[in-house]
Amino acid sequence: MTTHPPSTSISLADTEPVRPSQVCPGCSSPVGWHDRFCEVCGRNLLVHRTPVGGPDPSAAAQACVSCDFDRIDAEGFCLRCGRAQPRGRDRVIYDLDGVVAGVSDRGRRRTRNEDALALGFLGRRDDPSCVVAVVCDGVAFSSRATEASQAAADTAVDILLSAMSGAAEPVAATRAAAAAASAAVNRLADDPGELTDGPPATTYVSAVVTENEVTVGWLGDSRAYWLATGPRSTRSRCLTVDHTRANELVASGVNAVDAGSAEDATALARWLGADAEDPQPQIQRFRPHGPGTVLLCTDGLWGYLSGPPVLAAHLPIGGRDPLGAAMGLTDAANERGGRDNITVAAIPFPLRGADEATTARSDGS
Amino acid sequence: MTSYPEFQLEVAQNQYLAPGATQVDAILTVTAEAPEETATTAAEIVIVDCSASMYRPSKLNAAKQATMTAIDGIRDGVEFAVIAGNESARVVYPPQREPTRLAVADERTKAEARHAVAGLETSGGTAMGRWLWLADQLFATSDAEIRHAILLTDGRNDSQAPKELNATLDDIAGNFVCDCRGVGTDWEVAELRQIAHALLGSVDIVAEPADLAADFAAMTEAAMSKAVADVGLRLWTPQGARIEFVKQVEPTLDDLTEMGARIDAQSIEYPTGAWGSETRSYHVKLRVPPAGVGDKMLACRAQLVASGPKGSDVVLGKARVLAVWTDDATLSTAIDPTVAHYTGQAELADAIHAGLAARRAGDVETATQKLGRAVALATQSGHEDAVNLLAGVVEVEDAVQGTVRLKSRVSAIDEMTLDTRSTVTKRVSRRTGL
Repeated sequence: MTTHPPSTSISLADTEPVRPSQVCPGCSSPVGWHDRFCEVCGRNLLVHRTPVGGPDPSAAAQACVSCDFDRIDAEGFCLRCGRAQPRGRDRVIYDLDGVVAGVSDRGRRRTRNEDALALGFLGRRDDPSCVVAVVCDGVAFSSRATEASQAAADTAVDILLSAMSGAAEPVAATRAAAAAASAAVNRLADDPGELTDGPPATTYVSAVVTENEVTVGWLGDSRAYWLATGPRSTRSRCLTVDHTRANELVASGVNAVDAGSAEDATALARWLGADAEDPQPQIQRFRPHGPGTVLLCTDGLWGYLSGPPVLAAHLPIGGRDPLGAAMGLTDAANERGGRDNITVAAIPFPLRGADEATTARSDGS
Repeated sequence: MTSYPEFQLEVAQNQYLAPGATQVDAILTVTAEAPEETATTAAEIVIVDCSASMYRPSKLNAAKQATMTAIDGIRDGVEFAVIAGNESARVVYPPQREPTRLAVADERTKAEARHAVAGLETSGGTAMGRWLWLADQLFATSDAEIRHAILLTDGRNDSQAPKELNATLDDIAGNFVCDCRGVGTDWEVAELRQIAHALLGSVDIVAEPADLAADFAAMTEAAMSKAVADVGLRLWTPQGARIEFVKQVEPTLDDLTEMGARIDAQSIEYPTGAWGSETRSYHVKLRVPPAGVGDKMLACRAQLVASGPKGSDVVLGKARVLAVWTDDATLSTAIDPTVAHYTGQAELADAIHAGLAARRAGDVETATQKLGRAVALATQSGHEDAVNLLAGVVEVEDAVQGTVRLKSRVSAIDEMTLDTRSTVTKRVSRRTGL
C-alpha cells in the first residue's frame, strides 16, 4: 500500500505516538516528563498521533492467530497450520497512552480492510488538552478505497491537531480538516496509477474533544456516539445522522417508511472524494455532562449494534479503558458475523482520568 | 556442480473456496533453463534386446544402427556402456574385467563400442529386470551426476516372473533414469510403462525399425543436455492437510503419488529425475482443514530441491498454493482453465485405456462409449495427435459429440501406438487457457 503525505503545509513532523518510555519518539533521545520539546531534535513532545500510512506492514505477528504456533514465515503464513496472519490493515490496534484508542478490523467476510482511522491528542499524557479522532470507510466500489480512507484520516488528524494547538475554534478546525481530507482523496484520482472502478471515495467522521465540548463532523454513514458511563451523565445518543438516500428523502418530507423502502435507501448521499458534489461536513457540537465515551465507528459495527444503550452496555465495566472498549465492540461485531470491515475509536470523557475518578467518588458518596 | 539451471515455478489455481470447502487443485508449471555449457558429469548405458525374436535382420540391424547412433551422440568424457539382454544380461562394451566398469567416451572407445555392437547376435528369451540390474551395477561404479539408460526391446518380459521385475525396480528406483522403447508390436505397453514410471523415463513405440536411429539420437542428446539430476518436488502442507495426488501432467501423464518420500511431519518429496532446458507441469490435489470465510491459508508450499554439497538441500525454485474462503459464489465456483485442461487430459488418457481394454475384452458397447468420449475430449482440447491416433481405432462420425463406431479391422501398430501415446498430453494454451 502506498501512502500519501498529508496535504497540509503546516504538517507536523510528528508521526508517531509518544512511547511510554521517556525518549523522544523522533530521535530516541532521553527527554524529561515535563519537557515540551526534545532538546536534541526540537520535536514537539506535546503532540501525539498515530503513524501516517497506518501500521508498519512489516511488523510480524508473534504467534499464529489460528493455532498459536510461534513460528510465522516471512510472508506471514503460520509454519504449522498455514494460516495467513493478519498484517498491516487487517487488524489495526492503536492506544495512545490510554487517552484515546481505536481498532480497525478486516472483519470475517471481506478480503481486505478498506476502513482507516487516525488518532491524536495534544498535551501531556496525564493531562491532555484536546483529543481528536477520525474514522473513514473507503467506498467499496471506488478504486483504491484503502488508500482513500487512510489518506483522509491521516490528513484530517494532522489538520485537527495543528489547528487545535493553534487555539482554533473546534468547528473551524473540523471544516478545515474535512476540506484537507477531501483534497488528499482527490489527489489520489490524479495519480496516474490504475483507476479501474470509480474515483477514490470514502466516508468520514471526525471528533474533536476538549475539556468541556465534543465537536463531530461527518460525511456519509460512519457515526459518532455519546455513550454514558456514569449514572448522572447525559444519556447515550447517536450524534450523527447518516447521509443516505433514505435520510435525504426523510429530510425532504417523505415519510420514513416510504424512504426506508426506496430502492437505494442505504446508498450514500454524501461522501468524501473525487466525484462528491459537496465536501462540506455536517457538524454537531455537544456539551456532555458526566463521564462517558465518545465513540466513532463505521457501519461494520453499527450494522450489528446501533442502539446507543446497547453500545454503552458493551463498554468495559469500571475505569477508563478506551482500548478495551474498542476491542470489545470490534469482537462483538465479528461474533455477529463480521460481514463488513469494523472500525471503532473511543475517547473517554472527560479527558483527564483523575477528574473522572474524583467525580465517581463524589457520585458514590 | 557449479551452476544449476534456472527454475521458474508458476501456479495455476482458483484459490477461492466456498465456506466449508476443503479441496484445493493447482497446476504447478516448472520451467528450467539450463546453461549452454554444462559441466555436469554424465553416464549413459544403452541396453539392447538380443533375444531370439530380434533375429529378423530388419530389427537387429536397425537396433545395431540405433545403438551406434546413440554412441556417436555421447559427449567425450561421458562414461558409457552397452548391455545386450536376453534371459540374462552381459556387458558388450567396455570389455569387462573385475571389477565391472564403464568406459570413458573418446574417439577410440566409441569406435571400439561400435565395433562390438556390430558383432551382436540373437538368442534366448527376455528378462528386462536382469538387464536393468546389470545397468545398475555399472552405474554404481560411477560418480556421474546424470545417469541415463535407454532400453530397447521387441518382446514381452517372458523369462522372469513379474515379481522379480518388481523387486528389481524397487531396488534400483532413483539410481538412474531409463527411457524405454518398444519396437514392433510384440511387446507389452504396460510392462514398459511400469519400468519407465519407476525409473522416471519415457516410453514410446518405434513402429518402423528404420526410425530407431533418429529416436536414439534424440534421447542421447536430451540426456547429454541435462544439467541437474535427482531433483525432488517437495510439498509442504499445513497440519491436518492431506495430499490426495501428485501427477505429472505435462509433457506426459505420470502419477507420482505413491513415489513420495516423507521428509518431515509436514513435507513429502516426489522424485522428478534430471532436468535440462524443459517445461513440465504437475497437478497437485490437496485436502485442507476448512477455515472461516475471509481466512487465507497457505495450502501448499512447493519447492524444487536438488542435493547440494555434503547432503545439503539446494532449493532451485518455489511456489505457493493458497486457499481463501469466500461466500462469493462467483469466485468460489470459477474453475481455473489450466486445472480444467489437465483434468480433461487425464480423463482423456483414462478413456483411451478403458476403451482399449474393453475392446480387447470384446465389450463393444463400453469400448465405443469410452473411445467416443476420448475423441470428444481430444477434439475439445485441440489434441490433434490424439484425434489422429484415435481415428486409427474408430470411425469418427461426430468428433465434437464423440459419436464413433469401432473399426472392424485395426492394425496392431495403430492400437499400440494409441495405447503408448495416450499419456502424452496437449500443452495448455497460454492465450485461451485451452
